[in-house]
Amino acid sequence: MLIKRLLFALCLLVMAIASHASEPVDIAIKTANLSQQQDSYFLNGRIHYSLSGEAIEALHHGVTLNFNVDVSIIEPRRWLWSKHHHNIQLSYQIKYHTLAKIYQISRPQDIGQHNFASLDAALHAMGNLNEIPIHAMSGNQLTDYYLALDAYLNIEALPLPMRPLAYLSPGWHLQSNHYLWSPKQ
Amino acid sequence: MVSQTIKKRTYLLPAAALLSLLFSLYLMSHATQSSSQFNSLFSTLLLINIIGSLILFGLLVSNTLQLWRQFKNKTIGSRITAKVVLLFFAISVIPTGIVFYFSNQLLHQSIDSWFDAKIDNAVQDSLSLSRRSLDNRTLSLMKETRQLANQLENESDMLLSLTLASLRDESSASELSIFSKQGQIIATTNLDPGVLLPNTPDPEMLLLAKQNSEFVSLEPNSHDGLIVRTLIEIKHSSPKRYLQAIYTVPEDLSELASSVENAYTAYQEFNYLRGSLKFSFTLTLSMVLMFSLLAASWASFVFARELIEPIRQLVRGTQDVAAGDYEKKLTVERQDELGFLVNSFNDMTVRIASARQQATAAQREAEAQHTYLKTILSHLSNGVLGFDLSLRLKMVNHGAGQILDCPLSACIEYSLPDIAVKFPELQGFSELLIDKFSSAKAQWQHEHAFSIRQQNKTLLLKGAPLYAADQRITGYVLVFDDMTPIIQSQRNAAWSEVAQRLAHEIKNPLTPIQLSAERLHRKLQGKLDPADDKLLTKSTNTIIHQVSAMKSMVDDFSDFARPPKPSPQSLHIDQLIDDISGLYRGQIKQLKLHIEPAIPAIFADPVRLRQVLINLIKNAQEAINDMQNGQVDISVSHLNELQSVQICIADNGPGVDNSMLTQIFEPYTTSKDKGTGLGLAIVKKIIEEHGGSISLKPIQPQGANFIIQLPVMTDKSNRSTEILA
Repeated sequence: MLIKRLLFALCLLVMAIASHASEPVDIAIKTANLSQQQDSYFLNGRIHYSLSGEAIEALHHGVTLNFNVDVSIIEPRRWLWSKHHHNIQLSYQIKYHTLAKIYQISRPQDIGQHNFASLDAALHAMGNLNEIPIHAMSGNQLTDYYLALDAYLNIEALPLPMRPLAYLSPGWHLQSNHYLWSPKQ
Repeated sequence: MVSQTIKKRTYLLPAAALLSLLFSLYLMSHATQSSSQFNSLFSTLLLINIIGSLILFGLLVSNTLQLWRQFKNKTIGSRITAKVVLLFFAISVIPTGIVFYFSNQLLHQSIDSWFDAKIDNAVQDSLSLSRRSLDNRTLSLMKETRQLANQLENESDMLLSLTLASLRDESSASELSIFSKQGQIIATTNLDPGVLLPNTPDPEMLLLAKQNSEFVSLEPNSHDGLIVRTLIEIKHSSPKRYLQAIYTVPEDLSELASSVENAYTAYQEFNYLRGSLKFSFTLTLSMVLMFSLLAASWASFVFARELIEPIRQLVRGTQDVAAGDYEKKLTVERQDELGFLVNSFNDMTVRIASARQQATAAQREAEAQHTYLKTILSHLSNGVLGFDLSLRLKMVNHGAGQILDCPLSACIEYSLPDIAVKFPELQGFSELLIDKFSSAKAQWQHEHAFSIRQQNKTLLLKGAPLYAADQRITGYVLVFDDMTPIIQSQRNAAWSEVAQRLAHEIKNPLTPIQLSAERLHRKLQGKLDPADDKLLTKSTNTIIHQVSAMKSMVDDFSDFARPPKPSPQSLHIDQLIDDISGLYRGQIKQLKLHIEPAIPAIFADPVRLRQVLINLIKNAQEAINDMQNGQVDISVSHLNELQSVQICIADNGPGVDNSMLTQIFEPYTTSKDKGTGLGLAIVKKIIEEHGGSISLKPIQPQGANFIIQLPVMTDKSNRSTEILA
């Protein structure tokens, strides 16, 4: 009897997770491509960011939001699961400057930062991927490999007290669709 | 010896898991501090603790279900286990619940106390102050930019670059740039010659400048300082050009403003995170509470199991002992009171086993003695009866039943009056025993004569009380013997003596009397007148006949007193009877002979047995002499169970008077007018000399049946009869 109840509860949980997974995405990868300049490859793309109400409220209250863009080089295999050759993570921070009433976009790996008068302008700028060098890619990999792009809000970079609730609240699950394309096309 | 070991469980693994969980909980609580190095592991630690708590909860649920099943099945120790677990749970839940409640309250109040409306206003005011201060500066810088833009009116793009450098030197701007309407850089100059690219405005800034002809904003730069960006449309320029001037806010002012801004932002963030902070602390506290409760509950199960196991074993042990397994032995390695209890149990079982062995030995000895006594009593010719204090029959031996001729073994637990009711012939016997046992305190002896089944018997009774070990009377015993054969033999001996003397004293003068009478008749015959001669003849004949009769009687007496020496041999009694019956077949009208086939031989003197049979057949013939339908039946049969041959000689004559039945075989007892009364006495004597018995049974409606039983010939009977002979 107890086992039946536990199984029923498990089914409900799975259904809840499935329904959550089918929610409309807040981040959408519109385009992505790879350009070659001599022996180097550069990533260009367009990502549309749209923040939830909770995220905007937190941003205006001084909480810095961290977004990650993961670029993966994937080798598909017929009988085994796909092999991930390289994972490149691009991090973006967006925060609101209260005194200047502007939005700042910065990348931890870069020194510079960019100021924007509006949130839309900041998100638009953050969504532009221009000539991002992909050093791990070589010419002979173009034919067989795929590239995958994922963009998401890094909950673990939120202030610690927010994390448990962020994991439970759908408003904090900002994640793009899994964008996969072949560089040879 | 059955040995049962109490298994000791190892709880090292669960204890290690619990400690790991506790350590993880500690790390999680440590991670809540923002400066902690475990900050980044908070979510992982939280997940680990939730999974650990769920496993612990599952363990607890499993244990509880198992306990519930045991409780329902009334398993030994389940009740006390349930009590211990409930007690542990109650002991742990109350203090931890109280601590949790007050800690949570205190935490919430502490967090709330950090925030105050005054502080909130003060921080807000300080930010406004900073902003206003910077606004004044911004306005003046805007004015300055406007003047610079005025100087660039009507300048061509070629001249703009040249003019721009001189204007920057005249102004306080750190960078001057001119942009087209589309945001293209037309000209730029920077205080730092190394900076080649200008600080470009974002499209929205440019758009605002286009809409309002000017735009100004305060911005942080990359060096934690502040800059003022101004964008102004250059009038009368064609195409449209926009002048952007970047002014660096003085360092001291910038630092002050940044400090205020940082403090305000931190305060705002902290205020915003108030709810989340409370939630995360409450979550951590709840995890600690849950862990404490689950760990205490699980520990209660462990403790109860450890505590109950020896008790459970002891209960099973006692049940086994109660069921008769006295060899039960428990093994325990505990050194506490429970270990002492188990050792005491083992000592007890050893002693019980020893006592049981002794009791078994004593019981066997008692049974042996009982069997021995029973055997003696059963083979005793004396009768033995045992009674309890209420004179209920408790024990009877075979001899008692034989002597009293009653199945007294069926009267066990009967009282003496009940025995008298069941067997009326024993009423006098019962009354005598009641009287004697009730009145006499010590041993008593009494001779009791009574009649049962037409037989007079004389018993010698000896009664005595039975004493227990504490000299308390527990019952009575009666030992009695049938004195009738002894009295009979004494009577026979007396009769033999009388007969011998009678024969000796009477027989001696009879011969001279007979000879004298014959001589007197011979001498005087013919010498007297006829009348006297006739009288003489008649008188002498009378004397001679009477003397002959007396001689015959004296011979009978002599035979009874001193029978001739028997000479036994193997004898087929059926042939002998057949011969003798042949003699009487013409004299007795209805003589029926029935002889079973295969009658075994007996060891007897044929002459003496012929005398017996003739005597009995003659008696039967005389009994039916005057009857029209007189009949004599002779039958011979083999009694296999008694290993004897039975001869029945029955007639339908007038029979024997009941008063004579008991003494018909005694000497000088006869129902005939001319009998000496010695015939049946001699018959009985001959039969008894051959180891047999004779009895007389009346036949209804009339008649008598003499029944003779003679033992079948065996080697042993040969020898015994030879010795007898």
